[in-house]
Amino acid sequence: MMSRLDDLRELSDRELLSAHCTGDPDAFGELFRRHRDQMWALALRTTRDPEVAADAVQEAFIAAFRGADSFRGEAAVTTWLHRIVVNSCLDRLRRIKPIVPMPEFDLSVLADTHDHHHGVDVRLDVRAALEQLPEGQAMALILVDMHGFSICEAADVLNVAQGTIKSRCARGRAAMVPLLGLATPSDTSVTRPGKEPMTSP
Amino acid sequence: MNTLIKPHIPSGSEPTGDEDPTGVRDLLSSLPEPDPMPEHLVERINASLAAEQAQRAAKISRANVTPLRATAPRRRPRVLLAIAGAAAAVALITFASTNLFTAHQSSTTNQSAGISRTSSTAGAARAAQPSDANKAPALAGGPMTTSLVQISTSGTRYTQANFAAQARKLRLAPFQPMAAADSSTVGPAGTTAGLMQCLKAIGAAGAREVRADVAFYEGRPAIVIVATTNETPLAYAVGLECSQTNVAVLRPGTPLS
Repeated sequence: MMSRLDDLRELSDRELLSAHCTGDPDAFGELFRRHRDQMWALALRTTRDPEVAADAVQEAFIAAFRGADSFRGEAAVTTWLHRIVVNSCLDRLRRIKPIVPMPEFDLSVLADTHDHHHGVDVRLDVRAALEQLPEGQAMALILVDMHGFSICEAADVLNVAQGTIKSRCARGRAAMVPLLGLATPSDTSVTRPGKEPMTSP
Repeated sequence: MNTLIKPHIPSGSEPTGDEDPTGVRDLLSSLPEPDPMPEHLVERINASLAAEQAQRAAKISRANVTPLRATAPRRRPRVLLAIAGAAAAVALITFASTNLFTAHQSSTTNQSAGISRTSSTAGAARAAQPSDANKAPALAGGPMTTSLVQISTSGTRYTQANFAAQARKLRLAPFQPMAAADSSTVGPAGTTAGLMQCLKAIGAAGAREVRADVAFYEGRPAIVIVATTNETPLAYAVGLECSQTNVAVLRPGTPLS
């Protein structure tokens, strides 16, 4: 005989949320169990700080618990959860450090010309580089490139147009190139591991 | 049971994006996935959700209670229980009355702090009815609930790692009231009225007992609040600016089991 928890695991996300809204005491717990790791990964990548991520993801799940009635059903439940997590993370980041407008272009002034990729933790470089980007570009890259969201899904989560996501991705990637010391096909200065970059004559 | 974080698989057949000549997308997508949510965080969030569920159940239960006036003769046992509870609260307050006062008023031996009546304990509560200045202000939109509000200032440095243990100590510690002069400099939540508005903002308006401590949380000036609702104490950390329109939560409700 299946246990109640087994029954809940058979339900889709929508069914679980619906059950929660009608008073089921265990349905939301199953939603949390099912998606907590993904939301944690998103919070961690967005905030780049485990303590901030922990508070943000807790706040997000509580907000989702309380505001389950607000789920309209047009998007997937996971998209709705992702949105709440992202908003919770960005709210916390803005409280910790107010947004300073950065130019969306010409971030090369911040580029470190040394090659950091040889024997160095790329994650740290990426984290530092993402922090230099405008918030919108960083979020687009986190969702699309790191989490594998489609343009449509990322647009849903961030509540912007799909064209905006494409544009932010393109600009964000272009901005990341000098920050990470990557060579582009048109770049005549080649960076080799362990060596200073060669400049074009 | 999903113990690994799997990459998010796009739901549709739409391609994930245009060509990326920079190589950044490949680099970002090749990064290792973060570890699963740490166990202590899983427990913490599960506990918070359990507390939320308890509060939700309590609200539903209260909403189903028939007003006492309509059925008073038949609900005597419940009334007696409620009156006994209120009388016990009165006795406790009288015993400790030298230590109790609201943040904005000095205490005298027989004044009690921040007590308001439940709709089902009118008789007993009348005996302990405080002056209007001491009464915790009623929160609009809901029934008045018995609430004992104590605000102190210890300057304790609460930390994320030890928050639950520190909050338990706050709940059980002897009350050292904050001087009236200090409350006005703390911020909106430094007075009883302001604190009640803050409680409403963070979803703890129904608490029947509140201990608040002007202190620090993770190095930031904060008010740590232990709000007890239906035997479930929850501890929060909020900014000094917490008010009805500014939630300013630094640490969401943490159950103190």
